Amino acid sequence: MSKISEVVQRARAAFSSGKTRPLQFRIQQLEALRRMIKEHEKDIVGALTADLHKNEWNAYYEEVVYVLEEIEYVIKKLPEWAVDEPVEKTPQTQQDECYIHSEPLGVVLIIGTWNYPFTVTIQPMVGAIAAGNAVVTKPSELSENMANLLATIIPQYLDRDLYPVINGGVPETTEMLKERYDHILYTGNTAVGKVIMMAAAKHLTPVTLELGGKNPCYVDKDCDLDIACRRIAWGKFMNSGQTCVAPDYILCDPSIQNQIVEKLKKSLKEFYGEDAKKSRDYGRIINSRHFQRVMGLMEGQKVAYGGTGDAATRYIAPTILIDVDPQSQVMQEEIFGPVMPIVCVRSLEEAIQFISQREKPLALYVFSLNDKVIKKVIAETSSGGVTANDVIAHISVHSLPYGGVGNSGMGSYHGKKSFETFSHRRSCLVRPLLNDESFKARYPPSLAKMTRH
Amino acid sequence: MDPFSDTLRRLQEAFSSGRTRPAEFRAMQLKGLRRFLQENKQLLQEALAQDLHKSTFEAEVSEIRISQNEIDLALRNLRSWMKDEKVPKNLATQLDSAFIRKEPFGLVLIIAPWNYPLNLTLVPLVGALAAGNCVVLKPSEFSRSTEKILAEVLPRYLDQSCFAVVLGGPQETGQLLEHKFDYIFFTGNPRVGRIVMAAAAKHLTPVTLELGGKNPCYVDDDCDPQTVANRVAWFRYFNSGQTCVAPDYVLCSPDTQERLLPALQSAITRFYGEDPQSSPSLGRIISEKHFQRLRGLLGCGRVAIGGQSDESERYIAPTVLVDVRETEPVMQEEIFGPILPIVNVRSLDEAIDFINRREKPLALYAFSNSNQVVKRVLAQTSSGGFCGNDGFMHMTLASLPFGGVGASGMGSYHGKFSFDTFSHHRACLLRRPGLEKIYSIRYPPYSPRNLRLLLVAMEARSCSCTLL
Repeated sequence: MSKISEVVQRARAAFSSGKTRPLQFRIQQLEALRRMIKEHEKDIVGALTADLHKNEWNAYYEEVVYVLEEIEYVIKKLPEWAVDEPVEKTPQTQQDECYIHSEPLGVVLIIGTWNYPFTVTIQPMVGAIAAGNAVVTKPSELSENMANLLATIIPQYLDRDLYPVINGGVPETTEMLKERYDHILYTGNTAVGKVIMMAAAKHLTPVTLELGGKNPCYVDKDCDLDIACRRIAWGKFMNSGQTCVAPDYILCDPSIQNQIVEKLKKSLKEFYGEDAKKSRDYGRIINSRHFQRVMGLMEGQKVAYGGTGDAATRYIAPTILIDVDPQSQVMQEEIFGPVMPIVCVRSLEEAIQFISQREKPLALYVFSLNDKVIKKVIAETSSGGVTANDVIAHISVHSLPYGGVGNSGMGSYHGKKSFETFSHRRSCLVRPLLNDESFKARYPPSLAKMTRH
Repeated sequence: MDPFSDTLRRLQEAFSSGRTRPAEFRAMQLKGLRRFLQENKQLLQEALAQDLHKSTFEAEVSEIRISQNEIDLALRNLRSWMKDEKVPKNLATQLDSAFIRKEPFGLVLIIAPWNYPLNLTLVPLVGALAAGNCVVLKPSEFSRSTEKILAEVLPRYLDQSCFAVVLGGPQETGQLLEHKFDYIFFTGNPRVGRIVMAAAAKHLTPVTLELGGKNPCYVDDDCDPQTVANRVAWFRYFNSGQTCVAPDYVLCSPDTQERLLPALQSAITRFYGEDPQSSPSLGRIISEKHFQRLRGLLGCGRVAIGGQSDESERYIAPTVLVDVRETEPVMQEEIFGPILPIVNVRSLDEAIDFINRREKPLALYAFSNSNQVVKRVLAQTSSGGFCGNDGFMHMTLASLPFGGVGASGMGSYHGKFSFDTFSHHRACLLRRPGLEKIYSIRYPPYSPRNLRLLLVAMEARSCSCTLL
């Protein structure tokens, strides 16, 4: 048996021992996770700096705080979520106990990705642990420092059999996928999402796939452009554009394109200075391959700002492209970089059509002071989630499910949704074993009750 | 030439046109379904009798009435289910509007089985239509008479620009599955479930799979054997055992087996008479293939009750087998027939171990006068659903989600769960352009001061820091 197989089997045996059933155990593990984060803050920041040029602020505000809040929220709510949920009874079942009983699924596999390597790997773990599962974690090998850190510190704080961390590249992941799990949560791209679901199908393993897409950002003529552009600039260029819910491209009327460009530039200078390369707060591209890819997307485009890059440091300047042709390459794939194309549309209807003709994105953004416009955009499109008059924010509300639809994914998590995703909700009906007279009516022969035509 | 492309394109266009979105349209479809059932009741009963020798009683109780109830429930609740679901907000989002919008997925494929060909087609259909989807229905080719009605009569009651029935066997279904759907709902066996999920994976199509398994039925020593026998027998031999949630096998001590056998015989005689073959209450096996399969299982262990069969009618007598070994075929596959093996265990612990060694079933049953015993079986096993001291009654509550876990399936439906299954739950946050000062803490350049503020806020935990 391979090493990976052994690790997974051990996790399964540990789960079968029943260790994770008591809530107290789960809460202890979550508290240990919280301690791990607090005691290794510096290491976590260090890994994020090394992998993605993130600084202390980015590390806390864009990663750690999400996880800490999730842990807090889940610990508080777990007793409430784990309790049997009574349901409405029928006249025939008035004397019975009818309820939904939440149970762990068993062994959950979480495959993380590299752009928010801490959050995207640990936040799902919180829900899986809370639901009482064993959790096998596979951090992304592209964010190498974080992968190594997690493999080192997690076993120091959490139960080693139940929550193993397995590192490796494509061969190891392929090997891991041969094992049987009770749920797989994968964050990453569409192509690999299909591979994961295919592998899961062999074992009839349910999956949650958090994928991506091109998140449209419609900017209405009737809106506060200063605020809109500042918020858009913040969300787009955070982590150098490598955010699955970043606004991917802007749709606007040609009459406001120039203003948008000017205001975006203004915000970018406020955020990162004249030369973003010198800013402590501006990220870097994860690796050379992605660097080349993103630089390539700018080719042949009208650059209104930025447009340069430095391969040695994998730095790409905050870039704005104007009058972008929808057929061009930059509009064919998720950009995942600090390049903001602006595509002109002449009406709201055209914008909506543009969006609806394309794959359903993970997020959709609309900026307008007119409620009717916002309502129309939401009603006539689909996406994983929506924020109006801001970007990204919907994913930080614990009570909203976080997930995609169509090519951007299936299933969701965060907060209570995590607990539900990683639990089996088992329908239960318990009646007393009383005298059968009350059920006499249902037994054959039924000829007295019904005639056969 | 792909026979399905045109139909699918047409339905996709209808969906994109927005026709299925208004509540009025959906209600109209549901009312059409209701009329279909009301106006064709006799036709349907005849078809079910032809396909499965279903008695009028069984047809009424397990096919027609269940479907009617689901339609009525959906009509009564449609608007409330469609409403945006407001969610709790924290301090930082008090001025925002946060809600979950339920949206149709688009084009839904429902693949239905033959054992409850009306129920297992219409109930998912109710959910898919209520949720505003366009639907392609693929009824089972094995329940031929019902299939005919679904193909020829049902469409007349629905808007055919948004609904189509496609027919065929495994080959046609395979071809159909090459197309992209926005959701696939499949009821059938695990082997085909894997094929459906693999096909869905190519298009990243979410699925609900209602599969099967061997549903254990633990009978404790502390029980009244006749009451237990009545209940187990009724649920086992209903539809001649062709029920995904039927008790598949009994686990009990040799002592209890001794008491159960005469009680089971008594129940069978009471229900089906001295000659069950002539009882109008007992169904028949769907096909020659399944009949032969079941006849083969009669050779396992020892026949304690029944054991007769008649190929000309595809009739198999209500049968109980004893002295059955775990390795025999009757304990290796889902029986799906009127055969009940009894496996002996010496304790509750042994029964629980036996159950947990096997795949998670769709349903699990425990009979005992002791509530503690029932609760212990529940707590120490897993299954799609569970019923203590009865058969698949849990299915009759629309307020309970119906679905499997592990090899018995994924996802669930019935009642509101159907509506939710066929809807995308879209997270929505509507903010105002104001309050920019509050948000300014999140913008670069980041100073140590910002970080200290954030850390203090995190410590105080008085607001959601992720929304600053």
